[in-house]
Amino acid sequence: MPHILLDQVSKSFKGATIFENVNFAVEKGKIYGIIGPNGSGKSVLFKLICGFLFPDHGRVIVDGEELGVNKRFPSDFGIIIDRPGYIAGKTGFDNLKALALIRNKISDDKIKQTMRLVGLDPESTQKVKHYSLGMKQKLAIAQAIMEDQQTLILDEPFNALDADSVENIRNLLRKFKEEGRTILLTSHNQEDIDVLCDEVYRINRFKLEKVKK
Amino acid sequence: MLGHQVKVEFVRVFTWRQCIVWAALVLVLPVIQFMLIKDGYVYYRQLDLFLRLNSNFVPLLFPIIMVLVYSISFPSEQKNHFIPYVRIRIPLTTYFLSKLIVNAILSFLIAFLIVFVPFIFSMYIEPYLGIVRFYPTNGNPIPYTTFEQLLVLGTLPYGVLYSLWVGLNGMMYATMGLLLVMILEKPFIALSIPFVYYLLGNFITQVLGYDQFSPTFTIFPFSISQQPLWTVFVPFLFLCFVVMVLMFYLKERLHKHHD
Repeated sequence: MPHILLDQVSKSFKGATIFENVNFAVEKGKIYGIIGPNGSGKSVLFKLICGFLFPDHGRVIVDGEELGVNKRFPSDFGIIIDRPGYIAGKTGFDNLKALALIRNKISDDKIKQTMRLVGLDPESTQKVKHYSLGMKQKLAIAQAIMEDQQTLILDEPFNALDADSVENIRNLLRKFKEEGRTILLTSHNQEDIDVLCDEVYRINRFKLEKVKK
Repeated sequence: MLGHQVKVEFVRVFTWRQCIVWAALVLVLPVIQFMLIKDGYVYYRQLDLFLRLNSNFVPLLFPIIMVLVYSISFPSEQKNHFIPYVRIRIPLTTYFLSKLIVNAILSFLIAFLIVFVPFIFSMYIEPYLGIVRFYPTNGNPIPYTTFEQLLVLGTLPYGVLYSLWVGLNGMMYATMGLLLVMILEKPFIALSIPFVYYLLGNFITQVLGYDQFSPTFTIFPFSISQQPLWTVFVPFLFLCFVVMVLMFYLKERLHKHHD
């Protein structure tokens, strides 16, 4: 049974078709790349998989449970969708703490460890409103991985990162794959897709087409 | 899940900075008011001092004070796309409901204290300090106000019950503000609406000659002669109705708004 299954999924907004009868199966422990031009529906696809949007037709099934029927949101997903999200007037640590408190699964030490892992200083008193774009992106990655989420849905995770940080995050994602985690990502940089992904899909004419690597 | 999230919201909101803001909301306006009125008025009773302390600033700014308690912190979460990252961890309805509960509890407490602290000061502390001069009535009529009917229960029960009433109203205005922030795109407009509603309510009831039902006079009835207690429930019930409509609207629109 696939980890994530899109079964005959169609979605449109105000008459504009985004997806039409899409079938897509995601196996555990692989990295999937989704490519497509701007506005082709990459974020919509991720929102459908996360349960943020429901398909007009078809089903989205995660671990055998249909979203919107058996459960509202998939559990144990880490996401970056559209852009980093944060509370501007708080520090990076306080932002992550606010999110971590919701599930109350991890300690402050784990938050700090994750911040170091992505290249942020957990002791910094700098408010996120003063962060650079790259730092905000690292914060977004930190919140997506800090609770050891087993499935990562990452929309443009390398945006605004410098070369060293890109390499660091690539290595992190490779390590997560070795641990058996599942990753779906988009990137405008073909190199990210080429070096990381086991399978690549292109959004073309409202469908997902498998691209040979 | 909801209980845990309410606890989380309390943990998040109780910072030193926030406690100072709350202390200022409770103390600053009554202290300024006390400095302004301690010498310029004739007082026959300790209660008159309390009534005078609760006139001017607090009745005028009441809905604004209430949205400053907690609702004002929420737009920063909406503005920078924070909610989707919450949403993957907890259902949006639970998250928003926890915020509404925390907002209701905190605004109730602050509104209660805004009245109860001056009450304790006027009735129990000031007599020892002797700052204010009291005059004999010399046959002048004492202007009794609404809620003084409760004095038959005793001075302290009057103070507690009246403060609870202000607390309840404060809670409703704060809830209205937070619901509007959750519904509307523009937080400044959303947070202004409770104040506009309050002013408009006062204006309409005065124009129609029904002062006894005005929002201000039913919460702070010190500029109007004593009215039957039932009159205060008329605008309160209308306010409850408005809040319930907003809640229903939010419930219906919540997911569409954040998709």
